[in-house]
Amino acid sequence: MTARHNTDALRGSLDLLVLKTLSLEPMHGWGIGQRIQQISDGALEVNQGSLYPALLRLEKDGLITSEWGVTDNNRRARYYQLTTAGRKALGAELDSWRKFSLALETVLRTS
Amino acid sequence: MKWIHAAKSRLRLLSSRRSTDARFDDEMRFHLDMEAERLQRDEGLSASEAHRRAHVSFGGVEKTREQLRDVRGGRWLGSMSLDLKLAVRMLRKSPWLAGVGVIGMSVAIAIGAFAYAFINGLVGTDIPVPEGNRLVIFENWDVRNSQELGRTHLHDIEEWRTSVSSVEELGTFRIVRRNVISQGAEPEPMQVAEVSPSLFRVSGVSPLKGRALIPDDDRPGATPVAVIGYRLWQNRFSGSADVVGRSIQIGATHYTIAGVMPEGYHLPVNNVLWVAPTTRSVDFRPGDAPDVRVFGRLAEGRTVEDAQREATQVQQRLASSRPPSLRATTGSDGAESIVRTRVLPYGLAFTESPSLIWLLHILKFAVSLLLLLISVNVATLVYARTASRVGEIAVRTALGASRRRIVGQLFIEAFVLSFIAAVVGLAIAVTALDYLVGHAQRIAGDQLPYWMSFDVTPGLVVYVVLLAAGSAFVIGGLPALKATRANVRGNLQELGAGGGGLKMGRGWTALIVTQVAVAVAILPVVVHGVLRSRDSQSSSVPEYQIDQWLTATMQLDRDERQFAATTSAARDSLHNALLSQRLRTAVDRLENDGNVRSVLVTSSIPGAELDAFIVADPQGGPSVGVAIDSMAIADTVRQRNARGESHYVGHMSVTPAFFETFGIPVIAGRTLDQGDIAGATNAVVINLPFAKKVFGDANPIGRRIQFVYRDYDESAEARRAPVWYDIVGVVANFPRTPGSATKHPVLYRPLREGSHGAYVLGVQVASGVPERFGTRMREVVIGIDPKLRLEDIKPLGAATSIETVLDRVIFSAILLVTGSVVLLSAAGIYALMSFTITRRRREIGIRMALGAGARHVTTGVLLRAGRQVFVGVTLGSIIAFVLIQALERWKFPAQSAVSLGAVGLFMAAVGVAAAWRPARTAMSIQPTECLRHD
Repeated sequence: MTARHNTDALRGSLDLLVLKTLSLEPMHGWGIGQRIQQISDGALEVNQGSLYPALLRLEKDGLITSEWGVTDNNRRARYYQLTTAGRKALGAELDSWRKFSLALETVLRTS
Repeated sequence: MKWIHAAKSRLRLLSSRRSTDARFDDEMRFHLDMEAERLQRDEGLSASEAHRRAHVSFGGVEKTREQLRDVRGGRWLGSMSLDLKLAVRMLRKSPWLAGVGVIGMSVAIAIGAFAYAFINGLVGTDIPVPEGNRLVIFENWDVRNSQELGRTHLHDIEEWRTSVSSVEELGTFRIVRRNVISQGAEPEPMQVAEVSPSLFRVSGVSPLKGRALIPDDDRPGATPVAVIGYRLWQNRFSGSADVVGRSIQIGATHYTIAGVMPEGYHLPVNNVLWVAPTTRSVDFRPGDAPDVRVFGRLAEGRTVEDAQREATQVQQRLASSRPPSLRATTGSDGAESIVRTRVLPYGLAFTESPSLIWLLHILKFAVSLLLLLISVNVATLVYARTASRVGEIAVRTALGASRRRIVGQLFIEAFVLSFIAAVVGLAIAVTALDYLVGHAQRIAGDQLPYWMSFDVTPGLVVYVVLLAAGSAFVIGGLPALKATRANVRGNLQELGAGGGGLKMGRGWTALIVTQVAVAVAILPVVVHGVLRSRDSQSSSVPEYQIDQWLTATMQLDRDERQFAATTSAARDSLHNALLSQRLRTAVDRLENDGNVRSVLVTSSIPGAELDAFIVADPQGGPSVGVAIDSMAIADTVRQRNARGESHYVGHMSVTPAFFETFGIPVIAGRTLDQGDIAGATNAVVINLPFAKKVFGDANPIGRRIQFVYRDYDESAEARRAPVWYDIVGVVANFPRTPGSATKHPVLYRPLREGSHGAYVLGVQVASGVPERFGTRMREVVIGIDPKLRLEDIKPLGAATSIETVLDRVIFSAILLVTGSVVLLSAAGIYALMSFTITRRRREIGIRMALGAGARHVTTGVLLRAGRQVFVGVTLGSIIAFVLIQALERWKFPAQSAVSLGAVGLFMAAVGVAAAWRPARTAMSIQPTECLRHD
């Protein structure tokens, strides 16, 4: 899977990935992108330009909050954190993603 | 809860737009730095190359920023704030338009807001107790005249208790006034609520101290106990901790205080003192018991409609057993019950009547129409200005501005105008309400239900904002839609040629004519009304030294049980006889007081007489018909009003000493004497305004009059057989109290003992301020009998009734409306004239180029304007003439002709002034300049 292909696949699931990443710990934007890439062993590369609009959209919907903090190397960064509503939304999104991927898998296997 | 988070985040993002922009910049910088560092670290790139790559992989920073703005939303806020700035600038550019518009609309909005708050306060049905919406009232009504039949309730409640399952805890209450006497406080008359103990159960409020009333308190022979309210506890007992068990005298009875209710509890009406009912149905004949009201609580899950259905069944079942006094003959069916039962939500039962509420809602609608009218007027002004800006609109449209954008901007301009008007209007309304409510509470006091509130509510603010938005639509939206419909190219061409693009033909002429006509039609009618009321207030007053007099109404507690088992009419006369007896003693004792110069007894406060309709015998003609019952009377009054025969007059009963003591001069005939008092004659004395109003220049002595309807407690017998009264004298006018109409026609009848349920005692104090004598007066009276009450002690001439106060508010409103209509009309005429003439600049230029003289052109312009004003004035005068004639029963008073003429001249002057300046300006323009563009 090349980076170009997974951009399309990512578009619909970016919110899910962000929520999942933030469920581990509060993180800044750059960190979120890096973490997704690390966990997927570089298979998923988040388009950095579309990450911030997604973060803002999630914040506007009340699923995450953000505040200024300081990084390990003493830099000022905006940290994002999951809200209770966000945690619930993550559960629901995960469920529907699993159902979707299972259905897709089944179809692909039979054909 | 997700939506709360979302709403909070959105608000935060929107409210700090500038700081949010800065936040994204910081965040992106951090991101790029981190990415560059990573690239340097992982791939060994130089600092500059790492930064370049970081930028490339991020994508367009500007594009992301735009995306972020889209997500954040609120772009419209930016354009709106620009529109707001433009709007404020435009309004400052034409301050006269803003001023006139704001004044006109604020008056209309003020009246609208006042009506809204007043009506909602009056029909407020939210009873502030737990589940107050389940409380209901049962009422019996006389189907013939919609009068409440309170005298049937005491017996019917037994039936309702057993047969109406949808309502529980039915009980009665009755508000009486009694002297309240307790240690350490001055005796004073207060409202006492005689209530069934179930009232405390249905209201679900526990007492603060002691206990509420319980069923045992309502048993015959129970020890009398009272429950007091928080206010009374604080005021009369200084909040004493051991108040329970102490004694309080109410009228002639001593009660033990059983408990104190918490602050804010005032059921059933506005009460702070409760005792068990003193009247029982067994003591009275059915349908002839003392008036009580019946309350109850809807059973769980039942509705008012359910209760009404059951109550109607009971009413039908009881119909055949009603006593004759509650039956009326109906054609072939014989006698039929006149009683109808109605179940109402509790709060609604205290508004005068449902029809009043409808009337008030109609009033609210009328007020909205007034606002619409004024808005249309302001819209005319705005349109004239918008029309002059049509070039600007065309340029903006040509540069790509959408129609929606332009209409939006013009709408916002109008909204700013109406918003300012709304704020001013709301302020006026609140001030007027405070004034009215302040007076109402002082005058009506504890008779006003405690849940009625006339405060500014969120609903009121929403209503005012809606009014403002509605008028903004009429003012800005409509003209904008019309102005932007015109074609752009044409407008641009016209712009080049130096004129506007909107056609202003016959429409404008019609508008000018209508404006003038409306102003001319309304003004003289109002001026006429103002003059009439001014005239009646300006008569000479202080001859009678009214400032030395103190008046009070004297009443006696009515012990219904004492005369139980008789008819209510018999109870009336027995009670009245007792009162007369006490009255004689009171007058004797007061006359012997060192500080009293004289004492007078009358049936009402002099200057605040009761009103009645009378008819005079037509001299030489047939005797007028005799009224039979209240409905026939109403018919008679209606017929005679239609024929202009009946007269609305004041009447009061006085002793012979009345005229002498006040020194009221006798103009013709004689005053009343002891023979009249004794009942030997049916003599009456009238005042001069009465003589003039009813008899004109004819001699009234020897003529007869008869009451056809009066609004007080006359016995049924007297109503059935009206008496002809002989006029024996005419006296000068007694000054009415300030604020009420002074030259009111009044009829004086002899005061007969035993014929009244209340008397007015007037005391002329020998020295000092009369008010100070009030306490002494009460002491004397309570000393005779604790059941004898003195109510409403005040100096003669003190501003009196709530009607007077309401009159003043309405009067001010009429003045404000008229003022704003005149202002708007003048401004409208001015704007329209200026506009039409400005539009004729080219024509004037051409005419002058062709050799027309300046004077000739001016005359032409003024003549054309004059013609329009003339048509308007003529039309308006005709309407005003008809209106005033209708008001004055087809007689046209000379003063109205004067005011009509004055208003006509004023409007003509406004029209000419409006035409004069633009005409001069137009002439000062060189023909070549006007024609250059061609």
